[in-house]
Amino acid sequence: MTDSEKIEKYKKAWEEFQAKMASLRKRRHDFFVRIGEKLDKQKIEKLRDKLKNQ
Amino acid sequence: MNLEEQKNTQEKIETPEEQREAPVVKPEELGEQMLEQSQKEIADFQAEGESEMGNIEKSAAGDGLIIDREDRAEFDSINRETKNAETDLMVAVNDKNQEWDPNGTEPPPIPKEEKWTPDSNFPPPLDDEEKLNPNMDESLLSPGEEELSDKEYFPIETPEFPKNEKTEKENGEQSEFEEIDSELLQMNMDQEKRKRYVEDQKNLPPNAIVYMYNGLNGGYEKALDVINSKVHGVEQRSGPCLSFIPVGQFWKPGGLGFRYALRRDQIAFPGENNPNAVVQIEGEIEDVGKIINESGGLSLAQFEAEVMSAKGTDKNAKLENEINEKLSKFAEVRIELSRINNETAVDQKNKIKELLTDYRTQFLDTGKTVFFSHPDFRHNAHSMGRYLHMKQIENFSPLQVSGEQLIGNEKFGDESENFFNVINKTLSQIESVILEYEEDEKKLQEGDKSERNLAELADVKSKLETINFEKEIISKLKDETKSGLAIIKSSVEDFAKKINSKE
Repeated sequence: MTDSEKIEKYKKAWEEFQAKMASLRKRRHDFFVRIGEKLDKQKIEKLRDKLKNQ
Repeated sequence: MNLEEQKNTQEKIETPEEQREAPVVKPEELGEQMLEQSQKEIADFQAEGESEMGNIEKSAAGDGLIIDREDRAEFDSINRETKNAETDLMVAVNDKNQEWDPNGTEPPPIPKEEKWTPDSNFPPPLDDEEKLNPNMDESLLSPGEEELSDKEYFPIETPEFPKNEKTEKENGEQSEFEEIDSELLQMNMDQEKRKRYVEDQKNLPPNAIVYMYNGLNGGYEKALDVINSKVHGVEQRSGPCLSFIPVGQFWKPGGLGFRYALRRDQIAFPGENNPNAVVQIEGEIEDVGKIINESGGLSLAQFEAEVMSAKGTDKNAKLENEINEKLSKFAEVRIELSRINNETAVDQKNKIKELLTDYRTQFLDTGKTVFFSHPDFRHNAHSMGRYLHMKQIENFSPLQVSGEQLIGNEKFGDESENFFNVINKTLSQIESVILEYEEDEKKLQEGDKSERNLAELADVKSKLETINFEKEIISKLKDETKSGLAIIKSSVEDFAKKINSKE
């Protein structure tokens, strides 16, 4: 395999790595948004219960 | 690291295109640079995630909120996937086959003699092989393989690599399942390290994720058997079936196994009275465990697990796809069931929690209970007591469903339904105890008015008062569980319809 072929191969692998990391970043961002919403919901339920009991 | 910083970091490394335009840079140097940069990027990514997750967990704990284990597991799974990205890059950069053209006229280079390290793509030399853990139970093998001897169980002989010498590097067919961590494997040969590792797992907080392994002798077919089994996951047989360190068969190319992501409080070490435990740890150094939940297995519809491969496991594309499809279906079921459990029948769930807490503080903890101290029912009351006293108070989940019916048209194996049945049985037992005390009361009232009789009568009256109150609380529990179950069942059935219509 020539040097330029090797470099071409590396380029492709690097792009795939970057794409995978970008997709993981997005997935983690969505995860944090979702978990934040879930915790907010739990918090509201807690407050509602507290109010009910007063 | 913010987006701008990430962008800057990514810009620091020249793209391979730029490198190609600069002939002074050799491909090998570029490869090294890429690997170095990828490791840094992954480390930053993980550190950033851990820090953000840490803040969320801290704030949730402060507000008394609970982060679902499914969510924590998903977060961990995102971190693990960075490893796959890194491995793919490493495979591309380190592919030595590019040095030799199989279609060319030159013979392949003679491989240099390498010293074995845990990262080597070949088994350790014979001299270094020992029986890895003589205390490990045979049933750490996959279900149904207990008949194998220790010799077969622990790969004392050097595992055989495929005879045709077509390694994954040659044909590009290495299994895509994540490889077992070689550092962990190495601990099989170092008891001190293993002890320290187990101790670290033991000291984790209750909501931390702990990995436990079950190795399979039988590769892809065996992994599918486990997935398609009645339990839809690893099943408890005679001895320990899970371990903190992957053992024996994972050394063998072709080996596959399961790695369960359990919450620390789902694991009970010796001496721990852990109400949420589904695995009981045992063994000389407390590194193996038995499944102790009621279904006798860890269903993938309830517990997150992934299939792991040994180094050098050849890919079987058809079965790998089939396994991946099934695992993703289970993941979908787990997420949906968790949502149903969290979001539906919330009122019932809260009321049940309150009732259970009342019952515990008023009766069980003070020892005033009549029902549970009644000699005829002490044994029968055990199952109810487990729900009331140990298992369900803190993390009560009467609406937890196994989801088995969604996967394999199995019986609706429902924890909540078990709970409901136990309540019903308990109520009828309480009623018979009440009848018994009422008869005693009647006899004592009709008897003479001696001091002894009057004292006994006062005692029976007090017991009747207590047990009637016990009955009242347990009746309420029954009502709330019944309506909660109705809601959860209808949600689960809707989900089942949705899943089935997709197929």
